[in-house]
Amino acid sequence: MSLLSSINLANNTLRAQQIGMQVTGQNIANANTPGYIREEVNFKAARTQRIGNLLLGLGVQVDSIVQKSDKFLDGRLRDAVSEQSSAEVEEQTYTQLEALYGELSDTDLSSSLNNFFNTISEILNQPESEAARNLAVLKGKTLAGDVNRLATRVGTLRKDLNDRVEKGVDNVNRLLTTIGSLNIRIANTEGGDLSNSDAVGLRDQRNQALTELAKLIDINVTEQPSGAVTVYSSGDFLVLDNNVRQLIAQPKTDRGVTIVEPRIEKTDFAIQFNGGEIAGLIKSRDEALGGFLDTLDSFASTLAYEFNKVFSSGQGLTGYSNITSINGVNSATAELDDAGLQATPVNGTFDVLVFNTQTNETQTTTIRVDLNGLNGDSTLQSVVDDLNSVSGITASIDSQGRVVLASNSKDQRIAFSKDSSGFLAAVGLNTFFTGSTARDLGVNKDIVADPTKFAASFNGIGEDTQAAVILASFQDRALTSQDGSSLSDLYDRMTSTITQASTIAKSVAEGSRVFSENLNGQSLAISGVNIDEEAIKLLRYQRVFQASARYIQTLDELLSVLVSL
Amino acid sequence: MPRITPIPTTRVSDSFAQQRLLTQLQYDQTQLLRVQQQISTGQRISTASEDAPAALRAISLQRLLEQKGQVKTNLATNQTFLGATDVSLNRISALLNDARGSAQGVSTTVATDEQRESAATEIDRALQQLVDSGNERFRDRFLFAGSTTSVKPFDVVGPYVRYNGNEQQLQSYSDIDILFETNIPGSAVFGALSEPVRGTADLNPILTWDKRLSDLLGGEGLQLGSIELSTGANSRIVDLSQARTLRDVKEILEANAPPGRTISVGLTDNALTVSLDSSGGGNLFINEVAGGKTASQLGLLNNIAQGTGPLTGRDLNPALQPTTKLKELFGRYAQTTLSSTGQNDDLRITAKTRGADLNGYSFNFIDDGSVTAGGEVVTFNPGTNTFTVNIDNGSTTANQVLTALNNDAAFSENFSATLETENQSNTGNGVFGLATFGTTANGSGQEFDQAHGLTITNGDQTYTIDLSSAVTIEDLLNRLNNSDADVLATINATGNGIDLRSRLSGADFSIGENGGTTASQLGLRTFGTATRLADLNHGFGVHSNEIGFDFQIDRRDGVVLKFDTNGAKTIQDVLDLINNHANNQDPASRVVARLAAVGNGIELVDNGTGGPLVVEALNNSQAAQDLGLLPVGETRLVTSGPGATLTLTGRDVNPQETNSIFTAMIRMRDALRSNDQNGMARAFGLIDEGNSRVTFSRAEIGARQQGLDTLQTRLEDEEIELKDSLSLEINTDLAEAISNLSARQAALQASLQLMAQTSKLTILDYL
Repeated sequence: MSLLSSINLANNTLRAQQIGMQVTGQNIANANTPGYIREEVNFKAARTQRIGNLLLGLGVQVDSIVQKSDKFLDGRLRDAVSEQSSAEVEEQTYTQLEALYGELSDTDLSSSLNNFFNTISEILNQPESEAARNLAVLKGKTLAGDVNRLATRVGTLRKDLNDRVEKGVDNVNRLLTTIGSLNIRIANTEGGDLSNSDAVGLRDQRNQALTELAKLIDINVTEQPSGAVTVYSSGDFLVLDNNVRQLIAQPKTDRGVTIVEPRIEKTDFAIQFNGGEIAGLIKSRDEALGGFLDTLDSFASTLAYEFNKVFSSGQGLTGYSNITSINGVNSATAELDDAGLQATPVNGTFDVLVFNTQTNETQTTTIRVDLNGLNGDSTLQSVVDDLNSVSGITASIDSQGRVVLASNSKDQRIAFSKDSSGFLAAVGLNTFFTGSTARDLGVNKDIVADPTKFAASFNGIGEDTQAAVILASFQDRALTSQDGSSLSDLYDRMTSTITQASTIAKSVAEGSRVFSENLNGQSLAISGVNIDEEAIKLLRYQRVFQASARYIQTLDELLSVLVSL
Repeated sequence: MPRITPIPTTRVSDSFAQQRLLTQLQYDQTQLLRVQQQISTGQRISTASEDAPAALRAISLQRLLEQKGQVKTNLATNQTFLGATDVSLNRISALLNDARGSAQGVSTTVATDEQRESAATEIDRALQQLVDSGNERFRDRFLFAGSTTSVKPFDVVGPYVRYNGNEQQLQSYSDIDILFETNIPGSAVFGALSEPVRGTADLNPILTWDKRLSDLLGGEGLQLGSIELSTGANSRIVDLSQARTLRDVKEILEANAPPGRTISVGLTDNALTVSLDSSGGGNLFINEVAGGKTASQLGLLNNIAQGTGPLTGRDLNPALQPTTKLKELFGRYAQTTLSSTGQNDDLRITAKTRGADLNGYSFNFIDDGSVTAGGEVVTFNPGTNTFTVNIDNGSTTANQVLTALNNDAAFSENFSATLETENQSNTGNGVFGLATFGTTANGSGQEFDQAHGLTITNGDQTYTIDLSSAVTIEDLLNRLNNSDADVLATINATGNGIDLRSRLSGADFSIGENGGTTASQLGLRTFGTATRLADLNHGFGVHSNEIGFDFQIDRRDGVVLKFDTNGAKTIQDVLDLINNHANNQDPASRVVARLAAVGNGIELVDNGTGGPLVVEALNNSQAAQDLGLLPVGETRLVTSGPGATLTLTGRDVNPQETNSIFTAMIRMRDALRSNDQNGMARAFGLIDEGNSRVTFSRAEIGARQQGLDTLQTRLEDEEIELKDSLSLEINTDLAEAISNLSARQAALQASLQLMAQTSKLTILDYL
């Protein structure tokens, strides 16, 4: 034990306190750095020295500089961030969907529906007016256009989400690469178990990368003794040391459009994320928007087919000189319920009316659509053969599998009635709407070109308005095919589904935000920098530094005394 | 309320404190903006999910309001039509009253011809004005055309007025799913269609496999469910809900026999028959399934052991449809199927005429060594009604049997043979089996006289309607409607006959025979044996002397027959009086009374020899004149001629007419010009009747307008209620919103102050 060794002890103290002040400075400097984890210097008493029977301490030693964080809390926080990201994407999607749907406004789909059916009421008010029929046709076009537009816009939104999935996969790959690379650097820097100190800067970067990754996908993170982390998602590892499994955005077809599906590139495994933005995007794309499009398609299809079923049994102010069905079959010799028609006819009959404009005579022929499953059911060919045997009509099937009917005389007009089979609606003969999905819903061009063909009558060409009576209130009529629900019921159900789902998405997002903030608060309580705290620490280091300096001064004075002896 | 997140218990970092303050600030600002938006837009919610239950209620209310908006338009639009109709009716009523007044003044016997002519001219002018009123248009709609609103409803055709519209009324919605009539057809206001000549014959079409279930039971239709076919030991539930025609019922039942058994379904004239294969024995039971009514509807419910059947169902009474074939009326053609055991070898034998007379004809086949295929020989035994065909067994084909039968005179007189194509495509090339036999059955009813057609007299024209090429009821209706006779033929409301109306006002109208029985078979003849004498001559009847004879017929052989029609009620009674006269029973010299073979009227036929056939009124009786046997104003009619048979055809004294305002005016005009007091009296009655009809129509229009007024008022109240409800659901409560705005402002202010103050607090200030 000597004065010089005491000076050395004080020197250690000065250096230790300087390190403390350095760390404090670092903390203060990064007080506003997002994701920064405050650091702390761990001091420990230096080893002792035996002098005779005495064991004397050698002062202070800086044991380590560590980051103040709770790794379990960090894991939970990442889970919460994943959940929040996913929920917020869904919330955002539903908000956008609601905006597109636009209910409660005067320009929503329900207003279009009401306007259309209201204009059919106008035909009842003015059956002789071509203008009234034209208005109904125009409103029908508007309705079809609104449905198309909604489907297209939702489709665009869906495409945007899909693009974001694709970009999300790129970001995931970038982050996985970063994490893999940092894993190596951290392990090398910290030297495995040899150092008690953290490779703080690198860990901050990795932590930041993990948080960003958690925003994109749900991950489980396990830290290895080497300091490297292993990143799993949905049971598959994505990063192990510096081994990184990249994801690819694999294209596939869904609902008629190309979308991407995240897969692990090496194994081609379709990975199912349960949280994170990508999971939210996929769920929004496939379930929220995809499901909505399915419902809208079903609504459009029901509207078209059920309306057409009534309409096709009616007659306009004029008949058809010739008419070609809108829908074709895949095979003219296949049974009609298996011929590739969008809507399936059932067992029944329909009447064909041939009206002579010169004599005002109508010839009615009943055509059987035999689909009772027994003794050879009807095919398009057999029905067309029956139509062809109707006096005054030439019937054939064109190359696209469509029915072509032509009257044999310029004085003859063709009309239809009493279809209990749905054949006319299924093949698109004398129908109002065309298409069977929300995107392709339209109005028959024959009716658009000649609105007098709007079938308002049930008892002959231009005879009455009994068909219009049914069609005007069609929106609220119970549909057998929908178990007694009406179009209004279906629309309400669609609206209710969106509204409820949106409400739930908002609620879930809010809940996940609260949870995430809660955990973030807990995390910040441990990892965040408190300037006052750092100032106090700084004071503490300063005081010890000052005391040590005074100690050195005292020793120096003592040495001077000794030297001057 | 902002999100509540717990404060960490150990330490608080600056970041956390700042984040909390920022969250609070953002929340306050968001809420402030929301309230501002609520106040500025007036809507409490901007997206449905903000308050889903309220939004869904609001959406439903909005739809209701939009629909009610259209209903308001419907009411307003149709009020204008009804208003215009009311004005027209008012004018029509005034015209009728004026015309009646003019005629009234000159209807007495003291009026001069000039006065009557002047009144007739005035009535003629009124008639034209009435036609103009009938053709009145409002907003491009003919007010009185029925549902064919773009067709000019009335035309003046020579001395008559024709109605071109129909009887239908237009409808519109006066509320959701409540309809009201928006017009009144000319047939109702003017009586412009005659009372229908109702087909008195029940045409009762027979059942065929192609009959739609919806057309059965007089058009009420059948909605079938499931039934159980059971043998007692085995059973099967059969779902008939997809059946739409009787053929479907047959195919479905036959395809779903109880296990191991065969079900056969057949048709009688009016019912289904179901039988179990007799070879398996047992009983056929048909039960309902789960409380259904299908077996009962078909009349096939049977839980009594009655063997294998056939069970016969109820009368399914198919309604007449435009597509009903004429050959399905008036009975059935006897027929049988000669089913051979092989393929492509079944023949169907069908009688050429309806009726039971051709039932029971048998067909046998024998192998004849002297016959080679193609040279088959047919013989007929009239004693046993049996056709025997000698064939070359093993070589003769079905086609060769068919040819042999159709070439045989005895066979082709009453029957025709065709290939049986019921269930298969049959080429007829199969070898005909020797063991085949059959007997014709199921023939019923009588043959329909399609060849002669009928005559329609409307006004001064008689039209012959040729029905010989008609195949369906629609053809028949087309022939009638598109003849120039200006009639409207329809299937009657009960779906079992034809109704015929005249479109022509002011004309006498009748339907008679054209040498056959067509009109009578259709039940359309206006002068038939059942016609009541009281209805003749436009209801004036037959004026018989209370005491003494009414008329006499001097036969060609000089025998005088005297008749008193006092007790006669119908035309048949008059015919019986003549035909059953005690002195008129010698077939060689009797005079026969019958209905005219062509047209209408009583026809007297005298096959005797000698002088002329004479009809003469007795005791100043008008009866013979009223029966049409004497011309108007004549008391004696002599018919003579060179032929062996003398025929006296009486007038048609049961003309129908369209009981319209126009008829009233035309009859009045004509009566005035001919100074026909009876005619004038009748015309006054017709005018009064017409006026009553117009008054009734006005009352109805008035009631409808009043009803619409009430509905409109109610609709306006409802609209206010609905808007109020809608407002409660989605509109901003301004008082609440402004209070919230103040609270939010205060909260934001507090947050800002708090941020500013807490941010300033640091230990550094004290160092």
